[in-house]
Amino acid sequence: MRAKWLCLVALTAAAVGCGEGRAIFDIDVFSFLSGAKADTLPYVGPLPPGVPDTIPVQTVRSLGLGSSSVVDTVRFIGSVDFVNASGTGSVTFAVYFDSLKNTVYTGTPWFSVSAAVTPGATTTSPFDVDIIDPAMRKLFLASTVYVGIRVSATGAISGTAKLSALRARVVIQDKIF
Amino acid sequence: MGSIVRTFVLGFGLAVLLGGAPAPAAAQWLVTDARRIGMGGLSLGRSGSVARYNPAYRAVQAEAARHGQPKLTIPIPLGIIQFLHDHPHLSSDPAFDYKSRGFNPILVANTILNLPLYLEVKQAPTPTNDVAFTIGQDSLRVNLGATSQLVPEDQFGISGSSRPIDPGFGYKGFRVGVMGWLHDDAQLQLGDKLLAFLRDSVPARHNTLYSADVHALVASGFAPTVGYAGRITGDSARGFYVGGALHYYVGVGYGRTDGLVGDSTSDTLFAGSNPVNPIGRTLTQYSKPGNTLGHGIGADIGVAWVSGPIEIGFGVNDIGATITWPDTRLDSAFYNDSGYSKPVANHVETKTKLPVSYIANLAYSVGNTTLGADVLNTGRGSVVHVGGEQRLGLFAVRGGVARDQRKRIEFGFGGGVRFGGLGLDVGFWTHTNSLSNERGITMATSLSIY
Repeated sequence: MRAKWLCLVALTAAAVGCGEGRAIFDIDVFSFLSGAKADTLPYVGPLPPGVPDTIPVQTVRSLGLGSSSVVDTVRFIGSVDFVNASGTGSVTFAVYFDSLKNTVYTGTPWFSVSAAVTPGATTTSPFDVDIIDPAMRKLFLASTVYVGIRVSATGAISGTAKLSALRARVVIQDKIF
Repeated sequence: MGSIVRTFVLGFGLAVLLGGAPAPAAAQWLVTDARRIGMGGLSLGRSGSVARYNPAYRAVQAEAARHGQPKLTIPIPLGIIQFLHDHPHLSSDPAFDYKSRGFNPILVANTILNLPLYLEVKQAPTPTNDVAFTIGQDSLRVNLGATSQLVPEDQFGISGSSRPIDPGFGYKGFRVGVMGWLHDDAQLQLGDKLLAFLRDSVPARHNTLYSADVHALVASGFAPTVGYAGRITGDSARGFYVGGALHYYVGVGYGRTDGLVGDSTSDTLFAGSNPVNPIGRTLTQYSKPGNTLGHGIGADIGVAWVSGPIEIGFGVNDIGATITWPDTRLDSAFYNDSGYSKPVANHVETKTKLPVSYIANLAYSVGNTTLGADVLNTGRGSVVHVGGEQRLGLFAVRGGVARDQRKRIEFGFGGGVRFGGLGLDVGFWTHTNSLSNERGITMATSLSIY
């Protein structure tokens, strides 16, 4: 986490000098998940009692900017592979973000990806999602964002959802703080 | 955490702002005389910097050095109107309210450093410049684009040596007085790793120290002074003047710190819960007021030659001005997660040195025409002004060019109208920001009493 200091120095240089330009942040959310081995999640349908359908909430280091900053764009780009072991049905991969760790899964997902799966096949589902809600966009101004993933299955299926990429592109207008 | 980040960003930004690009410009253009601004900042005769840095000018008669100068100049701060228009509710403006989350100390500092006395006729264009940050659990890269030019490769900062008061009395050219003196110096030098990260977009590396060297000094005191200034040959129209002053510097107090601030990355760039983990190592030296006084000797010398329409001068200040502080305490300080300091030595002797300043000036006045040039160096690079004035009956037109401490060329032009003992002057000067070669234009206005 010590590299945060470098972020701050760079942010300052940008704040002092970038005039009317934008600050574009490319956050590799996947790296934070894979670092904690939380990029893979088994799914089973119907879900037996006691089997988790979520990953433990993970921490993503974000921007740490003042709330007066104007967030122009928050966009998620990535891909998830559904490695289906058995059965035919559909799988939904939902991604949650929150500013509080214990409420990550209490709200609605920020976005979700669904795919139809067949026995023994791997289905790749790329996604490219713009976040429209201004309040949700503001969340990424915080220095820490918590992320969670839930996978739900429809039909008698089992397999593994493997996230292969998840990047957040956050564009801040010229007023950084 | 947000407040920590914000505080850090603002703090570093203030340091850059206070020590960086705007400072030389502010120092150069801290002038309220529209006439002088119209001539590119040129100092003439006993005005401006000439009398401050050349002791011979104490003897040069004002008449001989007048060059059409007024007795008194009163600035008309039209820029304040513009400022109040831009900030109509200053008392409740969040940017100026330190209790507000919208408080912007960079804007406040910029306003103080560049007092809104002048009217901004043409804004210097600020280029649109995106900056990109790539952040991963174990990756960090910054592309500042054109803004990277702002990241200083060399040491930068602010420093100055001033004489806030200089009372005294004289007789037949000799003068005895006591001047107050103040020396301040703040410097920052980015380390190679940090410089490469910011300026060259080099990705952050593991187990690497990213740091900057810091240096700050402030010293003040007073100096009993004996001096002489007089014409050694010629008359008031044609004469050669010399001046000198010997100072016995008495140091009341000083403080100095030198060290390093920064941080080192670990095995993983973004790991753990501690968001900011700075490292600092400094050696601080100080002699508080009340300790044994510092002492030192230094001198100013100057010469001026006035020959009809021509005037040439050269002056040097604070020659050999080394202050010895016999009762200094030295403390070392370390910060890494938590801070502590320990005394290194006490009651030891240390020395500080005032920067040597010099000025050279040339003026040529014939009829209604005045031309001049000056070079001023106060220890942080030379500032050059070249300008002139042509008086046409009630009117005057002026022009000039200046090269500032950043070696940027700026232009001044303007004019004035005079009714008997009262005149109105308007001066325009150009200014640039660090990211653009296009210039903005500022207008200064002042009343002159002749």
